[in-house]
Amino acid sequence: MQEDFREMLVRMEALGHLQKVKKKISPQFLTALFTAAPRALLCESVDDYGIPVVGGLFWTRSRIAAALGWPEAELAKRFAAGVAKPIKPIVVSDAACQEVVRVDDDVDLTALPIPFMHEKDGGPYISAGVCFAQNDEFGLNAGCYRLMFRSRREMAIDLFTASDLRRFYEQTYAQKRPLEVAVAIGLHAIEHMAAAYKAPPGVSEMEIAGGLRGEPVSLVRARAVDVLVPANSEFVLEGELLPNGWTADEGPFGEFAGMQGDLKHNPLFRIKAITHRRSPIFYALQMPWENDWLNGPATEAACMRILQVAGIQVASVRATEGGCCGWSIYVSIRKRAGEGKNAIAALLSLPVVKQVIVTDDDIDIYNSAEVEWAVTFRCQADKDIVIVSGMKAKHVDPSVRPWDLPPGQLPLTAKFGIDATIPEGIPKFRYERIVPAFRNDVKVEDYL
Amino acid sequence: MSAPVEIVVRVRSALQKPIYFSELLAELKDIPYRTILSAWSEVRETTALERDLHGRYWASDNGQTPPTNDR
Repeated sequence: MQEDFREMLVRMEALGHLQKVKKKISPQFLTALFTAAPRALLCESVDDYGIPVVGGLFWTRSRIAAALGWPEAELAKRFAAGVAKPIKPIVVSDAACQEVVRVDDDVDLTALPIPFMHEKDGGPYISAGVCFAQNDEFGLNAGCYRLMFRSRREMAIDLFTASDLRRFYEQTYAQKRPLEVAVAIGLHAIEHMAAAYKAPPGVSEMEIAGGLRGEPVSLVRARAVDVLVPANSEFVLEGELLPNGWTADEGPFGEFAGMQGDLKHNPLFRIKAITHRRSPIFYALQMPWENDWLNGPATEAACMRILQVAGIQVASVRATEGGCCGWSIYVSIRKRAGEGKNAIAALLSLPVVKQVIVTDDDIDIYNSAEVEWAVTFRCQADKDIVIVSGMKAKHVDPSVRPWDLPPGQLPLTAKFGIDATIPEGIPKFRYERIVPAFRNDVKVEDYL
Repeated sequence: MSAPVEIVVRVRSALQKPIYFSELLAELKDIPYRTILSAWSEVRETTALERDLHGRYWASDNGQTPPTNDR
C-alpha cells in the first residue's frame, strides 16, 4: 500500500516535524505563522472553511528528508537511484481524490482556503499545485506552477518561463483551442518532488515518482477532462487553459529566489470541476524554502552525475540553502592533482549553478565554519578562484540587470568557483588538526 | 457563495485609487476573508481592473483593457 499525503503527515508528526494547531486562524495569517514556526503546522480550524491547511512541510533539509523518509545525507543518492529506474504508473478506476465531485454551479474556488501569502502578492495563491496535462507527442506531463485566484472559476497560471506545459499550451494556443489541465493539490513528497524535476523528453515525471517509490504510482482519469492525476491527491481542480494567450495579469508573487517577483501577463485557467477526498486537507506550500528544497535533491544528484562523468571521486555534495538549493554548491572530493579546478569547471557548466566551493573529503561540508576554514587556509585567491564570464543566466537574478535586455534576449552571468582543496605540493601534515589529549578517555557526561 | 452587495460596493470603492491586494484585505479587516474573495470575484467578473508596475490594482473608469506582454 502506497503511503499518501495524509499518511506522510502522520509520520512527520510522529517524528516531531509537524504539529497540529487547534486555534482558529484566517487564511491571510497562515504564511506569517507557517514561516515563523519551528516545525510544519497543520491548522485544523481555518475561519469560514471546514478544511484544515498544512504548510512548511519541506521548509528545511531535515523536513524534506523526513517527508521523503530518506536519510538527510542520502537525498542526492536516493534521488539519482530513483531517476535511473523509472517505473510506469498504473491507472485505477476508483480513487480517493474523487470521493467528492463538484461540477457546474457547485464549482466555487472561494470554498477552498486559498491563502494570501506575501505583502506584495497580486492575490491569494495556490502554491502547491501540480499541473497535469496530456500531449500526443510527449505523453503525460506533471509540473509545479503557481495559480493566482481571480474569481470563483478562474485563476491565472504562471506560464512565463520555458516549460513542457508552456510548450503544450503554445501548440493549442496556435490552434486557438483550450488545453485540458488538472491541478492536483496535496501530493506526497515523492510525487511533488518528481513533478518539480525536469524529466527527459518522453519520460513522465510520474514514472520518475515510481522509480523513487520503487513501485508504480496509481493514477486515475479526471472526471471533466481527459487527463490522468494521482489517485490519492487531496484535491484536483479540472479545467482548461483558455486560448487567450499571455493576457491575464498575474503576480507579483514571492519567488523561489526569495525576492518579490514582477507583475506578469499569463494564460487563464477556467475550472470545470473540483474533486476531493472526504475531509480533505489543503496544502499551502511556503516560499521560498519549500519550493527550493523540492529541487535540492535533484540538483545535488545532477552535480554528482556530472562529477562522475568528469572522473572525479565525490565524497559529498551540498546544495546550500543560501543559494536557494541550487545556485551555490559545496562539494568534497577525493582529489587527484588538478581535480579541484576540474570539479569547478564541471559544476559551473550546470545551468543553475552560479558559485562552487570544492574541498577535500576531510571537510564536513554541512558545517559552514569548516568550509570557511578550508577556504581561509587552503586557498590562494590569485590561483584558486576561477571566474568564468558570459555564461547562461536566469532573469530572476537582479545582478544580471534583466530589465536592460531587449525582449526575448536571455541574460548572461559571471560564475565563480573556489578551489579550497589542499594545494598541489603542500604536504598533508601541514594541515594536521589539533586533537585534545586523551580524548577517548574522557566522557563529557561523567562531568556535566 | 455570492457576496453581499454592500461588500462588493466597498471593494469597488477601495479600488478608486491604486491599492495592493494586502491593503484591500487590511481595509476590509472587519469582513470574513471568504466574503472578501467572493466580492473580489464579482468585481473581477464585471470590472476591468488596471495594474501598475508594482502590482497595485485600480478600477478602470474608461474601459481600458490591461496591457499584455504576449510573446
